[in-house]
Amino acid sequence: MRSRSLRLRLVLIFGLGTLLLSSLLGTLTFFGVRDVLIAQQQKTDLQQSYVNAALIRNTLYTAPLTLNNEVNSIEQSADSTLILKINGQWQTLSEQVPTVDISSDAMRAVNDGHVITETRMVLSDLDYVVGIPMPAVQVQVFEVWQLDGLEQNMRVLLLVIGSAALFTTVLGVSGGIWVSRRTLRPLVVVSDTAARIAGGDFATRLPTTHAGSEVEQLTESFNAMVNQLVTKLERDARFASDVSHELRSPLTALAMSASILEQHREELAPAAQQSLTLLSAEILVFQGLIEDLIELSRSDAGADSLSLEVIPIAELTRQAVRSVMRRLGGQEPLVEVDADVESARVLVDRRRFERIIANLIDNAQHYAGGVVALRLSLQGNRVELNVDDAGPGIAESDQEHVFERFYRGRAAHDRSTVRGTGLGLALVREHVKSLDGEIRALVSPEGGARFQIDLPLVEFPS
Amino acid sequence: MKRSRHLGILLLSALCLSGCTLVSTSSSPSQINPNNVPFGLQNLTIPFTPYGEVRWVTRDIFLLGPGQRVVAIPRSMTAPPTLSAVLYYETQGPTPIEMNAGITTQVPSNLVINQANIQGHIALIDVSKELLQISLADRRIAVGQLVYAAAAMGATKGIQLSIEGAPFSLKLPTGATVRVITPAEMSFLKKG
Amino acid sequence: MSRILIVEDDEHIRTALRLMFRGEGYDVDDASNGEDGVALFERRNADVAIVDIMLPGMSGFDTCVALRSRSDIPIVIVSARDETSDVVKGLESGADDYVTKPFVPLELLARVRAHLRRRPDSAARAFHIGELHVIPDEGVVRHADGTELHLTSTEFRLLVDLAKVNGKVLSREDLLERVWGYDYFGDSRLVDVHVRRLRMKIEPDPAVPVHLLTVRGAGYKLVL
Repeated sequence: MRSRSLRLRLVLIFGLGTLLLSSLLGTLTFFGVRDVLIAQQQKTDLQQSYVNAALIRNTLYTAPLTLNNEVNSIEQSADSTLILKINGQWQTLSEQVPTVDISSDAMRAVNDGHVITETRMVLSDLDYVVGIPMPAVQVQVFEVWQLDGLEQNMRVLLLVIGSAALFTTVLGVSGGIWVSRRTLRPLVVVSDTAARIAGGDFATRLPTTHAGSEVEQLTESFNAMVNQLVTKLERDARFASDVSHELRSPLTALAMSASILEQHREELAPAAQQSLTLLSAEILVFQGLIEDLIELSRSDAGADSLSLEVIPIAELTRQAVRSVMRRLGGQEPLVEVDADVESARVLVDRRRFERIIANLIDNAQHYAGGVVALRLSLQGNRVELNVDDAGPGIAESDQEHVFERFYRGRAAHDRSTVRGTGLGLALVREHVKSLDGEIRALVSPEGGARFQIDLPLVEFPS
Repeated sequence: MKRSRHLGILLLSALCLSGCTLVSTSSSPSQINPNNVPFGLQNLTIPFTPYGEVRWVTRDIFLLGPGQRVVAIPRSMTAPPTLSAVLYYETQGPTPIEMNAGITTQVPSNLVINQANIQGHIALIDVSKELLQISLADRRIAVGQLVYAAAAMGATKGIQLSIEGAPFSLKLPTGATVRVITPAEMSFLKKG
Repeated sequence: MSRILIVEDDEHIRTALRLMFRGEGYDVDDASNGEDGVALFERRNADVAIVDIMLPGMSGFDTCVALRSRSDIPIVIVSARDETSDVVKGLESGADDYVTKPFVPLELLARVRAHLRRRPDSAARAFHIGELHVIPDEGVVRHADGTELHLTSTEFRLLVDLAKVNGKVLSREDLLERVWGYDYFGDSRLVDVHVRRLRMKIEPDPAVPVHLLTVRGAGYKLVL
C-alpha cells in the first residue's frame, strides 16, 4: 500500500507538474499571440485610418458635396464607424457629442491637435479609436474600429493550445508512470524478497540490478545483512545441535549407571533407594530433552530426510497408538474411525507419524491426565485427526502459543505437575508441517484440549 | 498542507502573469508622434497644393416652418460657398432633429441641380424632372424656397429655371405664368 | 552362560555396560578399540557383540566386517543418531541390529536378549534352495558339496521364516516383527539390508534374484 501511494504521488506530481507547466505556457502563448494579433490589427487599422482621413480631406478639397457618399463608402469598405467633427460641430445624427464611442480625453487630445489612438472596452466590445485632426480642412476624423474580428483565430489558437496542454499532460502522466515504475520496482523487489526471507526461505537474495548506484548499494547491504543473519542462525542451530550431541555420551553413561544401580536396588538403604528413584526419573527427563533437542535441531537444519509411503491412515493411527502405549504405559485411548476414512490413505513417513502420536499422548499424560480419544474423519480432501485429552483444556490466549518451544502456558507454572521437556508440541508441529499437514489447538466437546491435525488425502484413481 | 499552498501560490501567480499581458485598455489615449503621421494630415495646408486649405462658412437655406412659411436654416459648407452648394443643401432638406422640430420642405430630395449660376443678379438654374412630378401648389412652394435661397446668395432679381434644359414657367397664384420668378412674387411664403 | 563382547571407546559407557550386563548374569569381555576387540574375540569367543561405530583407529564398520568374517554371532552396532547412512553401512558390514545414542539401557538389554534367544526354529523342516540344503533344526546351510554356508542367526531366521510361509509374501512389518521383534515402527532398512545380504549368499546371481524376490509395494517372498 505504501509503495502504491508513493507511485501515485510520483505520477500525480508528474501529471500536475506538466499540467501546470503546459497550462502556464499555453496561457502565456495564448495571450502573447493574442496581443501580437491585436497589435497587428491595430497597426493595420491605424494605417487605414490615415488613408481614410486623407481621402476625406481630398474629397473636401475637391468635391465637398460628395462627402457623405465618401464617408459611407469608406465605412462600408473598412467596416468601421467614422465620426466627423467639422468646424467644431459633431456630424452625428443627433448632433450630440459621441461620448459613447469616443472618450473625452481623446476628444480633448485631438482638439489640441494630436493624432491619438485609444483602445477601449465598450460594453463587451473592444474598440480601437483613431482620432486625426486635420487643421487644413478644419475637420477632426474619428474612426472607430472593432477588434473582435479576431474571434475565429483566437478560437483556433485556444483549441490548439488546449490540446497541446492536454497532450503534454498525458505525456507527463505516462512519463510519471514509467519513471515511478522504474524507480519503485527495486523497492517492490526488496519488499518481496524480505517477505520471503521472513517466511523462512533463507536461500533467497536480492538479484543485482543496474538500476542505479543507490539501488545497487541497497542490494549489497541487504544481501550482506541476510548472509549475516543466515550465518548466525546456522551457527545457533549448529550450536544447539553440537551441544545436544556432545551430551549424548555422558548422558548414556549416566543412564547406564542409574540402571546398574537399579539392578542393585535391594542392596540400598531406603534413603538411597528414594534418591535412586529420583535419579532415574530425572535422567529419563534429561534423556527425553536431549532426544527432543536433537530431533528439533535436525528438523531445523532440514537434515532429516523423509521416507514417505502411502499408508492407510486408520491402520497407521492404530499401530502408532499401540506402539506408544506399549512404551509409555497407561490406559490405551479409544481410536474412533469414521467409516469413510477407514480406507483413506495418506503420504507420510511412518516414524514421523508415530513421533507425532507419541508426543501428543506424552503431552496429554503430563498435563491432562491422558488422551481420551483419537478421532479420524474426512474433511473434504483432507483427513482430520482429533486428539482429545481429559484435561482442563487450553485457554484461548494460549492456543496459538502452545506450539512454541518451551512454552509452558499459564496452567503449567505449577512446576510440581510439570515433567515434560517443553519441546514435545513444538516437535509435533514441525513433524506435521513436514508431512504437509496443519495442526491447531482447540477445545474438545468434552472440555479438554483438542489437537486437530489435518493431512492431505492421497487420491487413487479407482 | 504546505504543498497545496505552494501549488495555490503558483497557480495564482500564473494567472496574474497572464493577466498582465492582456491587451491594455489604456486609461488615456496614446498620442502619435507627428513625425509618424503620413500624408501630412496634420499640416495646416493640404500637401502638394500651394497653401491649399478648406474653410467652412455658414449659409442659410430656406425650408418650411409651421404653416408652410419659409424659414432660414443655417448650413455649414466649404468656402467659397457656391449657389450650387446652397441649392444642393436645399435638396438635402431638414435634418432629423429639424424634422422633429416641425421643419419641412417641398423641394424634392431627389432633385438634382444640374447647373446654377448667377448672371445679372438672376440665378439661372437647371434642374432635373423631379420638379414637375409634384403638384403645382407644392411646386410653387418649392420654387419659392429656391428663390429665397438664391436671393440670399446674391440673385436678388430672382431665378430662371429650366428642366433638363427645357425652359420652365411657373403659374403664380395670381394666375400669371412667369419665366423669371422674383422674391416679391414668392412673398406669400413669408406672410404669416 | 552367554558371553557378550563390548567394543566401545567411551570408558564410562563401557564400564557401565560391563556392569549392567554382569549384573544381569552375562559374561562380559570389553575392548576400547577395534583391534583389541577382534583379538579378544579370537581368543575368547562371544555369543553376541556390541560395537560402537565411532571407534578410534579401526572403524566400527571394519570391526564388524572382521568379526563377521570370523563368525555368525549377532552383532549390535551403537550409532550416533545423525549418521543415518552409517546405520545402513553398519548393517551391510554385517551387523544384525542397531541402537542409537542416547539409548535406554534396558532397551539395549532387551535387544541383546532377543538376539541371543534367536535360535533357529527346530520345528521347521529342511528344504532346498537351488543347490543349497537348509536344515533349520541344526541351524546350518550346506552347499551341494557339503561345505557350510555361513549365515548369521538373523539371516537364517529370515530365510526360515520366509520358507515357512510357502512362497507367500511377507511385508517388511511382518518380517521386522517376526525376526527382530520390532513393531510397526521399526526400521525397515533392517529388513532390506538383510535381504540384500542373504541374496549375496544364496543367489547364484545376486543382481538377478530368482529365489528371494521383491514384491513391489508388498514385501518379499521366497521361491524355492
